[in-house]
Parts: sequence; C-alpha cells; structure tokens
Amino acid sequence: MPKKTHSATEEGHAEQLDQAEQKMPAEPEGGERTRSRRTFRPRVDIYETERGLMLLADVPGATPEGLTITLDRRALNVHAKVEDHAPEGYNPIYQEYQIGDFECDFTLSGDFDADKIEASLTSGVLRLMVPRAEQVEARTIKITAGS
Amino acid sequence: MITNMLYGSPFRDMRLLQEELNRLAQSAAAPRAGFPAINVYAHQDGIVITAELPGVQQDNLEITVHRDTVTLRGERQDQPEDAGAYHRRERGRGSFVRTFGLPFQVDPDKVDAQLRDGVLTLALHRPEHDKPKRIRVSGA
Repeated sequence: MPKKTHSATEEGHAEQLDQAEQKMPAEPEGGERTRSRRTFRPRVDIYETERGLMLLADVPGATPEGLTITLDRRALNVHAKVEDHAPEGYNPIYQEYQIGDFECDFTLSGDFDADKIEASLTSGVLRLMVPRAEQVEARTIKITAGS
Repeated sequence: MITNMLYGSPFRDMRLLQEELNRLAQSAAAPRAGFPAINVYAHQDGIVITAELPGVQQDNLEITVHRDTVTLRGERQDQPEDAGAYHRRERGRGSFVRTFGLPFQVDPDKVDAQLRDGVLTLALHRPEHDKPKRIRVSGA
C-alpha cells in the first residue's frame, strides 16, 4: 500500500465550491508531519519598512500555543497548528474550505538581524518583524610587528 | 519491497506533479469573489456557519440575518501605514460582501456570533414554529 501522507487524506463529505478563495497547498518539499491533517501554505505579504522587513501571514484558527517558529541559520520555518473548529454533533452539509495546519519557509538574506525577529499573532494574522542588521563599523586591524 | 517498487515512487511523483499543477493553476487564477469561504454544519434545531476571516476586526464585520438569508459584510485592512515596497502580496484586501441562503428560516433574535483567532462561528437556530414536528400514529 502506498504510504498515506497529509496530502492524501480523504475528501470532505460535503460538496465544494470552486469560486471561493481557495487555500493553497503546502510546498511539496516541506517537511512531512506525522499528523493526519492537511497542511496549507498561508497567504503572505512581505514588505519593506524603515526598520526592516515585515512579513504578514494569514493563519486563521492558529493560536499562540500552536505556533512554532524556528530559525536554523538563515532558514525561517513557520508552522501553525490549527485545531478543528467544526461544531460537535453537527453534520457538514456544505464545505468551501478545509481545515488544516499552515506551514511556510523563508530564507533570510545576510542583511537582516535574525536574532531580533519579533513575532505577534492577532486575529489569525501572524506578524513577523525582521529588523535590518546595523551597519558594522569599519575596523582597522593592527599589525603587530614580528620580532 | 515489491510493493514499494510498484506503488511507492511513481505514484508519489505523480501526486507531487499533480499538486504542483494545482498550485500553479490556483495562483494564476485565484478568484476573489468568494471571500470569505464558508462551511455549513446542520443539526435538527439549527445550523452553524464557520468562515475564515483572518485580519478582520470585530468592529469591521457586520452580520445581517433576514428570514433565510445571511449577509456577511466587512473590510480587510488595505495597506499598513508603514508599508514600503512590497516583495510579495498574496493576502486579500478591501471590502467584501457575501450573501447566502439557508435551507430554512432562522430566528433573528437567537443568533450567536463569535470571532476568534480569525475564525467566525455563527450559530443560527430554527424558530420554534418552524421546527419539524413528530407526528404520532394512533392505532385503529
């Protein structure tokens, strides 16, 4: 049997509408999770500010507890766990979106201070502030005369 | 494993290709008309509608219920004041209106709306007189 992964879960029982603003599937090269859930790539805005880069990601249903942001050298990974918000005891009769986790990866260039990233999560939007690195002052290197 | 040879890699490759095609198709023609996407759950006494509304503030969302139609009206932040040049812009913005019909009338006084973590949960109840009634069969 082929191995079942997060992207091969069964389709929802209810019908789906095509014209709705659909969620995007996660990058195929992204890490495979052991959770039997769908994973989506959030819609992201990235823009410049005076201080550096601002990154906004739509992660509806994510809570601060379920959010994992890891920085490995220059690779920034965001994973947001989303709990199922379908009400208990109800039958789905119509479905336009699916509930699943969010994951995305970014690679930061060297001009940014990766240690000073600030993150906040409000009403389903993750905000990441990536400050620009301060200009490194030119240093003169003294030469000690060899004896 | 023989099963791996038969099913493992070619099917996985096909699946990845399919996903990639889906992704390209979606990003090219992402329609904006259907925001927000909704899910509807039914119960004997009522209905629950959920919608993903990331970035929509409570004050910027207006919900109207009339007989058997529900209208969601609101606004997503257009552009932050501190924004300079954009490197990537995928999030939806601007105002939205969406009206949908329900399979039965709802009691406009018994609507319970909750907006939490960017997810709206709207619980609507059927009015008493409109609920299905069980009819007893009397013996002859």
